[in-house]
Amino acid sequence: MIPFDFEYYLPQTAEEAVTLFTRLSSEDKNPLYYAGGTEIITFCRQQTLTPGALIDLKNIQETTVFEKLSGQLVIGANLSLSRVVEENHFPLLSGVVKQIADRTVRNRLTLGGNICGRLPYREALLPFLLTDAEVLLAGPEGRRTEQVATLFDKRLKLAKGELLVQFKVLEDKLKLPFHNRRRVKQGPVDYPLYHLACTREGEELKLAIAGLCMFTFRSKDLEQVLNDRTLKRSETISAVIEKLPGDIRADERGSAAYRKALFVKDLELILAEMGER
Amino acid sequence: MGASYQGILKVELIVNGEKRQAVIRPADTLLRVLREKLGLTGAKPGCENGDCGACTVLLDAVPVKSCLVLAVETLGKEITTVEGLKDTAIQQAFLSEGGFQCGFCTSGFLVNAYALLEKDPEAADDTVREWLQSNLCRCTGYEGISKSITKAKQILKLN
Repeated sequence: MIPFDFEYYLPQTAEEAVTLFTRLSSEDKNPLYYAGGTEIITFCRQQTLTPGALIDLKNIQETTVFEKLSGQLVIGANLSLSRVVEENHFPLLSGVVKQIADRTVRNRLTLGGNICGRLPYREALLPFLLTDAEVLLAGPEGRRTEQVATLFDKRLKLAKGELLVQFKVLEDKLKLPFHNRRRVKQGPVDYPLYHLACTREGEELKLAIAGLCMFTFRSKDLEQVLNDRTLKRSETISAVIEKLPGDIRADERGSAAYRKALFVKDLELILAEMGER
Repeated sequence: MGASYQGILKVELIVNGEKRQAVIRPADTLLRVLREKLGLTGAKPGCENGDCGACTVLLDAVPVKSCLVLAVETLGKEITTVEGLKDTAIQQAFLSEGGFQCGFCTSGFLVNAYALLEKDPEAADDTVREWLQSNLCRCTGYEGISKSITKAKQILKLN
């Protein structure tokens, strides 16, 4: 049970949602954008979030499109993870999100919610980081399009009142060879020890990782050593670990040493399968 | 312009094919409204955290955890609870195969399995396993549940 009250709004357009957000903020109602609700309802029940108003974005049509348009795949930010998997226009994205939570939760959980929520993993972001995707935002200052990689530094840097509308991925990036591996402590339905995703574009390997450090990342420095063909495989692995942008995470799911050992195994596999080394 | 809801609301929900009136708050979860306002106690409050699946219902034929849905979100949508699965193949199969022990998780398994077999009456074992990972049985009675689903597939094939 959620032991406090809030108002609930169901706008039809992104601009209406933004206007509502601005007004409700000025009335000190602490509004939150809402879509799948899996995280917000849980946190409201625990009272770690206490919004005075929810602005439900699900009825905004452009945030639930999933179609190819002018050489790009347009991916609405409020698509449920199940729909992404079922329609499978972007195999890497399907491959990543089908491992998040369980099917019934994925029927509700949205891409935007996974990426903008409080949980640190943001696994749905990995394919967008690897494919140099763009993101369309709507906010009080109007609309803007940014590279996901530019906008993301440990979390998406959104202005107050901004919301995700769509991601856009070039069609020729949709079919890149990829490898993704989600490591969990026990059963498949759990938060990850880490989730790594790798693509190969020509000879270049690209790597993005969630859960290994305290934040999700794709690192150019790391990719530089990953693609240095003068190094032997074992040297590449050591260099990659040295270039990690943060300490390896240690928590109740696994120690840093355990995560590192698994990560080394997975890197070996990636280099053998995708890097031909 | 979109809709807005605040305070105490008198709403109409479509549950198991019937229009039902209820007085709700926007902050009420669907699970609480079904159980406490409509007297439909089939969906169970297990974890109320989206983990156990005991509260699973169908929303426009899609299985969701009703503890993670606001009742106000379901206006105009078709809600199906375990009470709406009377005389279905899955109900018959759970009975004949003993697909339950304490029974607390059963309604969630029934609803989720029903949705799966509506979508794919010949679902492969892998698909069944993937769908039913959404539900937990703390009696660990998974063998009986698995047999019940196999039996339901047979019943559907015969019909």
